[in-house]
Amino acid sequence: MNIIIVGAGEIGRHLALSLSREAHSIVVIEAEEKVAGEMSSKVDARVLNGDGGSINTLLDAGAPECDLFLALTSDNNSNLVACSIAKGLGAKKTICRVHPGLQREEWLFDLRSNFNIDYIFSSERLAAVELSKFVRSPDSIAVEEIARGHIELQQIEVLHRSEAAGKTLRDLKFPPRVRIGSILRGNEQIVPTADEVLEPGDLVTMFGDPKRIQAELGRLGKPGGKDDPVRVVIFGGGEYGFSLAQTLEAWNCRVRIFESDPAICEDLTDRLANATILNADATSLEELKEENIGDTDFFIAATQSDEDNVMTCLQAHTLGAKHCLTLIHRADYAEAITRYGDRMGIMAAVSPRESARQDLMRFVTSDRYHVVKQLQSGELIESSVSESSSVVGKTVRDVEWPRGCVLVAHLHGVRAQVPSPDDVIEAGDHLYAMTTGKVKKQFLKLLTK
Amino acid sequence: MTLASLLSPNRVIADMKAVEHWPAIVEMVDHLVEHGYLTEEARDPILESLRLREDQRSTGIGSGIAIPHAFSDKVSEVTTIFGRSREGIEFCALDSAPVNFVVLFIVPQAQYALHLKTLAAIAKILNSGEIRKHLTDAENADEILGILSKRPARA
Repeated sequence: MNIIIVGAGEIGRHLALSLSREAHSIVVIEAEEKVAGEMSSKVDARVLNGDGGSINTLLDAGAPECDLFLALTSDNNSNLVACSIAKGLGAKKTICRVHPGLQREEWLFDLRSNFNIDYIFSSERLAAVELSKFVRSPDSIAVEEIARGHIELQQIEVLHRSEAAGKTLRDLKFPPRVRIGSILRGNEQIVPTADEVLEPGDLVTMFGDPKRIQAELGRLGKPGGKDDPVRVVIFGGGEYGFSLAQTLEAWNCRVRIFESDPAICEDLTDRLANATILNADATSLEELKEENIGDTDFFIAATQSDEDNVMTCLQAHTLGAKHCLTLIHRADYAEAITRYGDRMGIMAAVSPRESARQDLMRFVTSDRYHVVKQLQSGELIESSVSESSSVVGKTVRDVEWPRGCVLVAHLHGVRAQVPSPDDVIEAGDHLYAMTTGKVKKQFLKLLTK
Repeated sequence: MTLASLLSPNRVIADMKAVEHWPAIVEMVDHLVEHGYLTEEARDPILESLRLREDQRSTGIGSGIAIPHAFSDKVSEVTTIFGRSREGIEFCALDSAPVNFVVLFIVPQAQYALHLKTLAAIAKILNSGEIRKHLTDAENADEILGILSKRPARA
């Protein structure tokens, strides 16, 4: 793929490094001469020192032949303009990074049509969503949103003492539109039928509406205790802290936010209905003690300073907070925290650049399909249904699906659901399936011919 | 202009039945048709423009608020309805949280710019956590209208 990346900051550099390891032709445009110089010595890509909004630079970078154009600077306006020009020059797909504030206004005005952008994202919001997944499902090994966030995938281990151990899927009677997509038993990948018996230690991948899945998880893993609100303390009320609190408010969490800037506190108090805003400095041990940090289920450090984040997590852990999570911005620190974090009581470190990379990888594929998630138990792929496909107009029940493929989501216009046998498939719909190797080819063939 | 001045007790649904995104929008449009604020003929084309808008991006803007809207030549003046769901509606909102307050707007095509301001102002009011708490606690449509009439809808 011909890929152009504008901006060699944390996010642009991380993505360029990761993509250059694959067989892509990459051009990076960076306005700062020094940064551009550093970049060209580090990455196997053509680095241009120039302005992403300059037509000459974009032509030089090959925008007319570009398959994927990513504007990833930290400046909204530069990114919007660069995408708009690139699309005008012929770039196939344009992706624009914006600040969460602009993303929150997007409902009011169609930025994407006006600037010819295919996808808009904010790394702050993606990181907040990533952090919230740990709080919502601390026992899940993987949590992923698919089909525009309508459907969630959760991977969880079946525990000995759980209700599900030793029962068949048929007996477990999962509610409609909740599906077990795959089971990993030791090294064996199982595409389950209704007669499959769940065994303790099985790694189960479940699909469904996020709230419905949540209700079912307790049957596989740790049961009970779901009614007590989860106590969460967030350190830092900036964009990350706000997005996180906003998301968690809806998930039966009692949120407290430590923020040392009184003006930000006032704004947060006005915007969040149920969170408690504390005008206090969480880097002070005294203040942490005063607020009984030891009683919290989750302590999440979400400021711009990696050092403050990690140190306060250590303090919170020492005081008895059950789980500690932190944001890590700098690439150099992320590796150390990921490797040694659990020894320091840090459950996970989330980095905005990695959240962005994971989100954007789905655009880096051929047009026919894309791999949504690579799981130990198989591959989750998405593809659209061609007009010429034999499945068009048929119900899910009437299609002869290849063995070893489980249909897990059906996106029709705005609606996305875990498919039921009577759903009719139409051209243009998107289907998501768990597949492995050979089955993938058969599945894709079915959707196109 | 306050949001309340664009509403009336029979354009407030205190307890919405729908629990999902699209059925919620259909419920509100049908309510407007039933009470004579929209004609039968206008129903389908208006739903279609609302669908196109939601297709681009859900109008669930976070904090339990959704403001679905469409511009249509089927209405001569702005037509609004407010719905509350204490349970929450799955709306595929920006923060993935369920939606408790839905304000649906149908705006005459010619008044696009004028009402963009109204939409922004309504979002600003509902952004206040305190207002949302009051709206949750309100007993009925009249009380909801009372809360919405306190603040100007256009800043």
